[in-house]
Amino acid sequence: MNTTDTLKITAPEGTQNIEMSREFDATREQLLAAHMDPELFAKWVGPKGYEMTITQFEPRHGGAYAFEHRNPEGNDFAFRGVFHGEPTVEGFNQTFEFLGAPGEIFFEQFWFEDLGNGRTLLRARSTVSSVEIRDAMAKDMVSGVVEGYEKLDELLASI
Amino acid sequence: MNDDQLDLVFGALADRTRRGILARLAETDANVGDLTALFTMSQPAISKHLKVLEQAGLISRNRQGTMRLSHLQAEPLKHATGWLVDYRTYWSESYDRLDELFASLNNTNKEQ
Repeated sequence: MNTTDTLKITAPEGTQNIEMSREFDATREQLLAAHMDPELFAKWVGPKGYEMTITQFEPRHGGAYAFEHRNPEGNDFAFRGVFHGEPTVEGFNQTFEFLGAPGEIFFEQFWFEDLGNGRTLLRARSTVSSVEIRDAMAKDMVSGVVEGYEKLDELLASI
Repeated sequence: MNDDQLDLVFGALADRTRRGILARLAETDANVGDLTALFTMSQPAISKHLKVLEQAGLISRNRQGTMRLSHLQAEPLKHATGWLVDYRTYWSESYDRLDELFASLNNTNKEQ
């Protein structure tokens, strides 16, 4: 069953959100384990060729997580956050911070939806602190030109 | 871009007023007076922020008559954000690897 082209990422105009969805040949229990078991988490999160190190992982309400990626050039990027609410097969919530831009904290919500036949739809929403920062992150996904932001558009095209 | 320069860029970005200044300059050049009004901050405070941005190479400043205009320089931002793969690539590759992980887990279960 082909799931690789079910990835959808959108950045709805005028909102601070990045919306993502992806189908998996896995149960909701497996999706939860993939996100909450640090041994499994380390095996898939991050781009190809990046080394992943988890320095903290407390999969519970109020628990903290922290991990680092090292790219093939040897550069490190660190991330951390906190889980809010008890993670379940319905999904979970967390804050997320990239330590290269500290203080810019995202609020992220993840939903696991049963599609039947042992398949699950993962939906995720990242809420960023401003439309401008969301637009800069999602530069290839922002649809349309927001009136009065022509110069911002030039910036996005030049990045 | 070397590590020292990247440190300056990320350090400059790690302040919400400075990020706000960059967003404003993305629309059009501005002088200190424009920025002071926008952020309801003192002139010396804004000038301090502009100095940090200029040192990081994120803005350039030019005299136009009696005013000093700040101008956004996008190149360093390009290097800083290019350092991280883009959002879609990050998740597309991660989810592909998750597919492989599920496939191997489910195959292991079948064998048992």
